[in-house]
Order: sequence, then structure tokens, then C-alpha cells
Amino acid sequence: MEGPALKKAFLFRNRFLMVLLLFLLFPGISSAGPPEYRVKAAFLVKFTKFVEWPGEKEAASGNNPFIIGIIGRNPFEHHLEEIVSGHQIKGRNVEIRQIDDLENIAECHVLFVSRVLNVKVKEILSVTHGRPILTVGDIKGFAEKGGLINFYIEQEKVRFEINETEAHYSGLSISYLLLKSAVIVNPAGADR
Amino acid sequence: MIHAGSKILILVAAAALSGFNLFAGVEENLLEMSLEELLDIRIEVASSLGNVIFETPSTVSVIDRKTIEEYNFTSITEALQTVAGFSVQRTYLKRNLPTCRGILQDHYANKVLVMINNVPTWHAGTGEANIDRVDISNVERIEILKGPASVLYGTNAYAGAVNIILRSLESEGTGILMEIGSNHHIKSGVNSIITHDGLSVSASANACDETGSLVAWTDETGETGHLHEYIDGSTFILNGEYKNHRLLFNAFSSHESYLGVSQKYATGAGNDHYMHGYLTNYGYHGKVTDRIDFNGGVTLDWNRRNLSRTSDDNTRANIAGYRIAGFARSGIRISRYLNLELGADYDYRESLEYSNYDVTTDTLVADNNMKNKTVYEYSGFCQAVFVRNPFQLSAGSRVSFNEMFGLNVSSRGTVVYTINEKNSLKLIYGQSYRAPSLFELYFETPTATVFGYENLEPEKTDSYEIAYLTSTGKFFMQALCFYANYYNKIFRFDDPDLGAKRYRNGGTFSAGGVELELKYRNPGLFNGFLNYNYIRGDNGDEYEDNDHFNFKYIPEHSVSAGISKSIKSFYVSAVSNIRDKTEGAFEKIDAQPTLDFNLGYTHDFKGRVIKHIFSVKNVFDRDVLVPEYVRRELNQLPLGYGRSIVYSMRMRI
Repeated sequence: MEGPALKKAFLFRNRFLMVLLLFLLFPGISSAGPPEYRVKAAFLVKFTKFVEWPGEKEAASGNNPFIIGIIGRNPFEHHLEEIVSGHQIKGRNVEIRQIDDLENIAECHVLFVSRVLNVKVKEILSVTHGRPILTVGDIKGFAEKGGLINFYIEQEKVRFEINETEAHYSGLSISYLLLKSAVIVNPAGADR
Repeated sequence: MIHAGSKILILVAAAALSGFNLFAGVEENLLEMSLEELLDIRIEVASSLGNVIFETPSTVSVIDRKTIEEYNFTSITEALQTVAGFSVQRTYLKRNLPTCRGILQDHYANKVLVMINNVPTWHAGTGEANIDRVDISNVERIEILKGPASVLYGTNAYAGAVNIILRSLESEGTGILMEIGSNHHIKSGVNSIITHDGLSVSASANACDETGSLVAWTDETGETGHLHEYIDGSTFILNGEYKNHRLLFNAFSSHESYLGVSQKYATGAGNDHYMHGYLTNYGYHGKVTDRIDFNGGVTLDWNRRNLSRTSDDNTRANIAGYRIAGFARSGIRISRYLNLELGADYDYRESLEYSNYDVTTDTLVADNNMKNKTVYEYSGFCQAVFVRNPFQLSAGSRVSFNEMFGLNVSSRGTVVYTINEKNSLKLIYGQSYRAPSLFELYFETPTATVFGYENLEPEKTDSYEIAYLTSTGKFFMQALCFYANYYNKIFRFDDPDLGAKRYRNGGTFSAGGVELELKYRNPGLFNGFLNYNYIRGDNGDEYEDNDHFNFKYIPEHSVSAGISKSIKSFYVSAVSNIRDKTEGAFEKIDAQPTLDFNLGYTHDFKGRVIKHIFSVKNVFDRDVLVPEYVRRELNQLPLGYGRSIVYSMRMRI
């Protein structure tokens, strides 16, 4: 590159730096609230305090980890790892696993079902149905389809709904304190 | 005076500091909070685009389903016109040419790759793609990748790529579309999705007919007359998934108005231009081990154009060809931080014919030297992606071997710096490569008026970009600057030695620009977008001072803006596109503003959601003009649409 072309290239670069400088001022207007998935990660761990798994006391005496599985693209990035770092759940160390094969779902205590999936929600829930796995979704209609807990956003706040009937079938015992904070989409006894 | 390199460092440092300050505000221990306290936290809602755009090591613009419906884009063309750095042009030979960053396409649009669900589709003989092969009612989103993309997608992704993602297979049911409008416009469509025992199938069919708007037009010889400007046709899509298997079938036929083979009424202007094609792709994706993914498939892509060559329409031309392509991709997780992407592609192209034939006797008039011309190309690529918060570094190369042009290596490298959750900075370097099409190499008219050229060199480009993305609960912004060099661009010129037109490679030219995309989403107030594009290029491709070069015809500024507001069951929206003034072959063409207006109403009828939309496109009925840059015998051409009034009804069963 020589002569006018070189001059033009420099001109572009200067304009380019000016524009960049303006854009870099923009982070200052970013919102003050914590990111959505940091709060959802906290909820995910918090839920476990209000849920009882069958045989959890016996399991706590062994070395088996408490497994949180994520199926689909992980929207938590580093947040979930940071939240559980240094914490135990049910007296057990926590392990976060990316679940790529439906056969591995059975190992999970909590299964987070992401919005972006390579498989169908129905297929996932057909595997978890009747098993003591706390399925937590981030998908419209997830709880109606048979997921146990589903997140949704209302006025920039995280909310969740619980399918009480499915929880009953799963063998998990969900505390009244958690139920009263949720919208119940399929009350226990409704289909019995 | 601070050196430019130091300025960049200071700016990056400033960005980093501002990012870390923000992040510090969310470091409270959320686990210590009670349920009630957690429920009371006002969060920053993640963008609907997720972190895909923030982390993708490319510059991507996305038009999602919500935006398509909000502004009632009635075609993919209409949606693409709003993207900064993208336009849809027209030549006398073809309408709806996707054009990226001002890189004009002459007779056949082969510089922007078009894909359907990541499957490339283009005419084997001419290299052109057709964006009208999918109706917008079947589109979930349109991903627009601007700049060189050959390393990722191979040849033809020279100036950019458009990836049309079809409607999701998640929601079972049937959707119905009815549309009527001025110029006898009528369109209907149905889309049905069924899922059963792991099998998901979506079938969509659409058909459109219109007489189009009547336009007064004067041809190269000075002959005046009127033409109907229309685009209509039908599309069919079958999209299925069963476990690890995917099948895509797309068939289309499209009719459009046309200005003749040489811009004259005598050479077919005003007669019909017809295209049709079939794309079939089978794909398999799965895991080899916990650390290795595999994705592969095969494609058969057959396309044909049929165009009029005489005013009585008794002589027409068939341009047909097919491609057989195969691909294999593998993602390998080497370690927690390092991933490797490997891939191989094979592409066989055959031009079946470019035959001029007599319609009345169905006899061959000329084969234009395009019968059974073939070429194959294979390539392999490797890209390493290193991710360690806050950086994502990637570097990759594609080695291509073309039967005629031998080896070529294209490379790319990117750095994505995640300042914090909602701010990222991208530095991108990329190269692209496009082998000349069979048409550009071999075409030869029996009357010795146009010749291909077997000694053409492949087109190449390299570009440098810096992009900044930010998002809050209501705002999204993508801003970028780029600088690109283009080498060997292929164009048709008047060869005085031959006394005919011939293809040749042009000289090196450069361009740079700024693209800004702003989105604001606040349903309580309004939703809107503002896209701005500035681009300027030099005249390095001007041949022997003939005052013809690519960037002569490109407006420096273009703006697109949209606003929409919902009030209970009603919504109102408007979209305006403005192209700055530009040069034509002989004189300036004024700025070209347009305005579209939409009014919608949604209601329930026996449990079914029905949406009614009333639209006025090009409200002020402006003659939108674009430069005639191919033959340069006319200054400008109409883009091809006047004011139209359309009523649409969509229903989900």
C-alpha cells in the first residue's frame, strides 16, 4: 500500500478509533441488576434446600457427589460454578456436568434444561418421568409438559412455576415454603 | 502524539476497567439471600439472541422471527434491506441480488453465499444463489455474516453469507397464511409440524401470484414502454429430524420481471424470467466420544433459469446445473480451554446447459459452450478455539484444491474479549476465496458477442474488523469498523481486440466502513431499531481510466430505522430505508427514501390465535432507483416495486 491508499488507510483508522472511543463510553449506561443467569444459578442451588431426595441422608455418608446436569447450551457460563464453589449440597460435593446423552440423565439430581436443545423436551421428560430428578427448565410450557420447575421473567424479576403433580410422581418431596413462592401449574390431586 | 497502537491499548484498557467496575456491582452473595429476597431482585434480562452473537467469532446480524412479524417483512429481501452493511440490488438480468459491504455482483450473484439451515445452495453453472427459494413465513431467523467467510463455509462466501434458519420443529401444530393486496397480489401458505416418538417433521408450502406494479421504462435504444414489475412463485420445504438424522428438501419456482438479455425490449424486456430448483440434504450429527462430536452430510442441489431472449418470446434460454456436495465436521475438546474444529468438504459441479432454444419448434439455437462442463473442488479446514475467560481466541485455515486452480489457503484469526456479561469486543482478521464459475470460464455466444475466459484467477479478499457489542435489558448495540482489500474481482468488460465482451480480473481495490446496529426493546414504551452504514472504497479496479469501478455506484451512507408499538391487541409499526445519493453511469442518482407502515390486530377465535395485518409498503410510491452498473448504457434501473397495499391473516391451529 502506498501514497493515497496509505493515507486513506490512516484516515479510516483515526475515524475508527474515534467511533470506538464513543462506544466504549456505553458500558457506563449498563443496568445495575445482576445478570439473569447469575440469579437463576442461585435459584437452582437454593431449590435444593427445599427439596428432599429419597435416601439423601444415607447418600450423604458416602463420597458420591451431588450432580447438577445441564442439557443443551449452558447459559450460566461461569456463574453456576462460582455460586457452588466452596459449597456442598446435602452434605455432598457438587459436580456440574454437561449432559449430551439422554442415557446419562439418570445420574443427575438436578437437571437444568436449556432453551437451546438438540433433542426434544418431550424426549427428555419421558426419561425423567417418575424418577427423583429435579428438572428445572427455562422454556415456555416446560412445566405443563411435565417438567418440575420452570423459570420465567416477570417485570425483570425471576419467577418460577412448579408442576406439583409431576413432583409427586417423581418421589421428590418439595417443601411448602418453595411451593408458596411458585405458581402451581398442575396442583397435586388435580388428576386423581 | 500518542502512537495509534498505544491508543488502541489505552482504549482496550478503558473498556476493561469500565467492564470490571460494572461486574463488581453484582458480586453480592446470592446464596445467602432468602427465597423472597431472590424473587425481589431486578435482573438484567439476557438478550433473546443469547450469548451466541456476543461470543461468535464473526460479525453476525440476526433478524429473528419476532422482528419479522413486528415489522411484517413480507420477503427475505425486505428484511435484508434493513441490515447495516447489506443491501439487495438489481441488474437488468436479475432482481433481489444480495449484496454485502458494497461488493457488486454483475450478471450472476455469486459473491454472497446463501444457506438454508447451514446447507449452501447455489447454481452450479453460474454460482448464483436465490433468496426467494424460501418464503419468509417459514423462517425462524436470518443470520447475516458480513465479511469474508470462506474459511468457515468455503467458496462463494466471498463477501458474506446469509443463513436462513427454518421454523423450529419444537411446536406442533398447523399455521395458515393468507395474503391479498394491490396489483392482484395473492399469497397463501400452510405449515404443519408433527412430532411422534422422536420423529419431528415440518412441511410447508406457499404460493404467490401478482401482476406487479406497472412501470414506465425506456430501454437502451430509446424505445419506451411499460413493464409489470413482479416477483411471485411457489416454495415447498420438508424438514425432518429423527434422533441423529436430519433431512431437508426444498423445491421452489420463481417468476420475476426482467429487462432482457441486453436491456432492450427487442431482447426480451417485459417477458417472464423463470427459475426453479431442488435442494436435498441428508445430515447426521452425533457424538463419537464424550470429547468428540461429528456432523456430516450430503447435498444434491439442482437449479435452472429460463429467460426470454426476444420480444416475441419465441427464443428462450435454459441455464441448468447441479452440485453434489459432501461434508464432514468434527469438534474435538482437547482440554477445558482448547477445542479443535476439523472439517472436510467435497463439491462436484456440472453445468448441464446454457441452451438458447426456439420455443415454437423446441429446437436448439445455440449451446453457448456450456454443455456438460464440470469441475470439482475439495477442501479441509482446521480451527483451534481457545477459551479462557475473558478471552476467546481462534485461528484457522482452509486449504482448498480446485481442479482448475490448484491449491489455495485462506486463513482467519479472531480475538473475542468479553468485558463482562453484556459487553464484548471482537478483533477479526479473515480471508476469502472464490473460484470462477463455470459460466465465467467457458461461456461463449455463437454470435461472438460475449466470452468467458479460462485463464481467470480466483477472486480473493482479506479484511480487518473491530466490533463492539453491548446490551442492557432494553438496548442492544453492535458497532464495527472494517477495512478490506479485494483482489482479482471478476467482471465483464468490452475487449477492443475481440470486439466483444469478455470476463477478466480487475485490479486490487480497498474499502472501509462503519456499521452500527441499535435495538431498543421496551414493550411498555416502544420497540425500535436503527441501523446505519458508512462505506467508502477506492477506484483500484478502474480499468484503463474508463470511469467504471465498483465503489462508484455505492452510496456512502445508508440508514434503516423501525419503530413498533403494541397497545393491547393492536400493534402499529413503521420501517424506513434511506440510501444516500450515488453516482450512476452518467449522472448522480438522488437519495432514495422509502417508508413502510403496518397495523396489526390479534384475537382469539375458538381457542385459535388469529393475527390480521394491514400494510402499506412504499407509502409515498417512490420510484426507487439503483445504478445500472453492468452495461452502463442506462444511468439507472427501477428497483422494482411501487406502493402496495397488503392485508395478511395468520392463524395457528
